[in-house]
Amino acid sequence: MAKCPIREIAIKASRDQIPLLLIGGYAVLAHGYVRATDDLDLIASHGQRERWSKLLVGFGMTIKNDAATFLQFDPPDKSSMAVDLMFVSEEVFVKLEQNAVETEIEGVRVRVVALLHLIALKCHAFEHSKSIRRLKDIDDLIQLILINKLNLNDPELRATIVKHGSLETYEKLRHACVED
Amino acid sequence: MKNYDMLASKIENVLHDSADLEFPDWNGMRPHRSRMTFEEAVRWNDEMLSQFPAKNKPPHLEAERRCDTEFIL
Repeated sequence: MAKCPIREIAIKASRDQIPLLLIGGYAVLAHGYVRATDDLDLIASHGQRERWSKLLVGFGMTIKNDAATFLQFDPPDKSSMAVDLMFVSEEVFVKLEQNAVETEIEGVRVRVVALLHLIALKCHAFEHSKSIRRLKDIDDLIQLILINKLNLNDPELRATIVKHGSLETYEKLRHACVED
Repeated sequence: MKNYDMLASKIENVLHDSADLEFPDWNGMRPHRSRMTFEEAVRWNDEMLSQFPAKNKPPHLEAERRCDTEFIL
């Protein structure tokens, strides 16, 4: 079974003073929607790329996919979990980090992107992805909105969804999240 | 997870800057596919639930979990 290496990674990142910020499935879990996830997604600034890469390689991970905006790592063996690192500008990272929330996983304090930032990221992923995982993104959006009782009529929430997704995505969410 | 209410309280702060964020193109990421036995999957699920207990869902979502069929044994 793939074990999430978050505890060890969080401790090492803290010692090395590398800011750790969770996105993806673990952030979805932290914001209340319980579902399975088979990788660990982190977001970082471009400037932290080399430090993060070195840290993860130090855990025996190998780079599976290397691009300007992301790095994907395979675990050293089947007992550990894959890690995806996604990069943003320093300016965006600062905003994400300033509003991040702290929580505890396996006895270690970790930071998770704020709910609305997670929704912005999920809208972005849903809008720009061509893969079947879009289905997972839209399901995450619907569940996060319902579980956290977000008001889709809020103009700023609407602006976020339209900006990072589209008007069509917003209308789909309104339709899917209607309370009976 | 114990901090849902605290997480929710951050919403107000974040609403103001969410629309200003710019994310890059992350296309090209490949999915990680893992395969586990049924036993491993059950254990995995148990561990997940212990770390992230489900929040109370709105009544209509809770209602969806109910089975309206009566089984006469």
